[in-house]
Amino acid sequence: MADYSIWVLEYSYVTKYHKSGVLYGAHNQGYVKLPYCYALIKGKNHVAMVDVGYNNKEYGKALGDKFGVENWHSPKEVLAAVGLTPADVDTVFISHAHFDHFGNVEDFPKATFYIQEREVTKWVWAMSLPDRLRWMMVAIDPGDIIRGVDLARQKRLVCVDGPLENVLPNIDLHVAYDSHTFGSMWVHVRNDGKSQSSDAWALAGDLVYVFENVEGPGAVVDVDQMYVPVGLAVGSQENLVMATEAMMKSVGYEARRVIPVHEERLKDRFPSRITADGLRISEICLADGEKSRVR
Amino acid sequence: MPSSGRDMLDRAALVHRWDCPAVAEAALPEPKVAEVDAAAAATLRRPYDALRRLIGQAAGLLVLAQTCWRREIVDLPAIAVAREQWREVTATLGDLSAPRGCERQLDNLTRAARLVGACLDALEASATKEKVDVSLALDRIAAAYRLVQLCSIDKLGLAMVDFRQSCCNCAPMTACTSE
Repeated sequence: MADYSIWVLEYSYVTKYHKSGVLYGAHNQGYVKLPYCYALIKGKNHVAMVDVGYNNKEYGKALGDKFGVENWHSPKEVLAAVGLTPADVDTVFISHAHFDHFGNVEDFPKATFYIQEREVTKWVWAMSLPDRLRWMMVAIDPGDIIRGVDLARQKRLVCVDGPLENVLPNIDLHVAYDSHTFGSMWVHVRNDGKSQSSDAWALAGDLVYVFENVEGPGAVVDVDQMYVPVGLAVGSQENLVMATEAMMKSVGYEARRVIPVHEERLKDRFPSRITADGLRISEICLADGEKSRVR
Repeated sequence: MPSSGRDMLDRAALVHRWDCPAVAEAALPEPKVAEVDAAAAATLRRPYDALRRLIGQAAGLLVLAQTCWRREIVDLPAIAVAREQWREVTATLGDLSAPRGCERQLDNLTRAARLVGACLDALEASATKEKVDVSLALDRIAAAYRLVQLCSIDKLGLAMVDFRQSCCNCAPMTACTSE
């Protein structure tokens, strides 16, 4: 029995991204494709998303010109490929406040958004620091926070203080403080409805970029595999590794159940297809009675 | 006068809504670097960045006021820090004369600074009421954001989002010729 279907939906990508950004210490090891994606969760009369991407109107030119971000498509186009519209989405979990995850809230007119309170409070703190500490302020658009105020005014933004069980039935929120960002959140879907689930999924946000963050080479320390943290973080590698351990524990140490949305090779691990727009849909799991969107 | 009436007067007399056509003007034509004395334009960087950060702080405080901490928000040290930084940037802008080719930018930054101050006023006023409503403060900070955004000069590094270290940042890639 499975209550929820989960898909990872690509909405844009960078074809050549430096590998050291996704994998700590991978210097001079070339580049990887970095897909930009959000996760879609559907079931129990809910349509939820993990993150909402960015608004191409605001950022598209800068990203295209400077960083080679390509093939952006709107949530309306991306969700249409799985038979949904942005207005169908009732819940959004914001894994963190970077522009490419929190930068398009206005496209989801009926959703209630969840974000960690710490992500906001430490953002306020970081923005108060002098220029020499500017490194901690990157990748966040004050405009996104302003749109967050508007959501809050409409009672559509919930600041979560720490972990939260059953935010939707059998879906829990967890936080990894001072890791990729100040209050990065991951989403735990217990698809059999049990508290000690044997059919659980961890939607990792940017706490995990690629499979090697969970199943990294361990020969250097004489083990088969070990966790290797992501390269980009304002917090500590220690906290990233411990967040990986928490996610792995939550899925019974079955690495394939920790889902990194920036991982291009999801297509090799899960049924996938490429849409007419040249974007990938990966089908992580299907609820009972739900039809496949990739076959 | 009741504060709600004062707010309304302030709003009518001083502050455009964020989507007011008077504020929602088209982006200023980005000056050519050759035309804008780079050194003079660089003088805008400090107030530009200070306002960008103040807007972020104020917006974050509004989120917290509306969702979590309600009236306690006015007692946070972060409010005092924002106030102090607002006074500093206001003084900085007051001392500046418009760099050549950047007159509109300086004017917009000055207007934005006033709006940030008005936002902090509205936040503090709101937090003393029975029911927190950040609508007025939101209008003001959104207008300030729009004005600062209009002053962006990408090639001089005046940008609302710092993309370095972000997930898309493969800028170093373009400088490399081999893997």
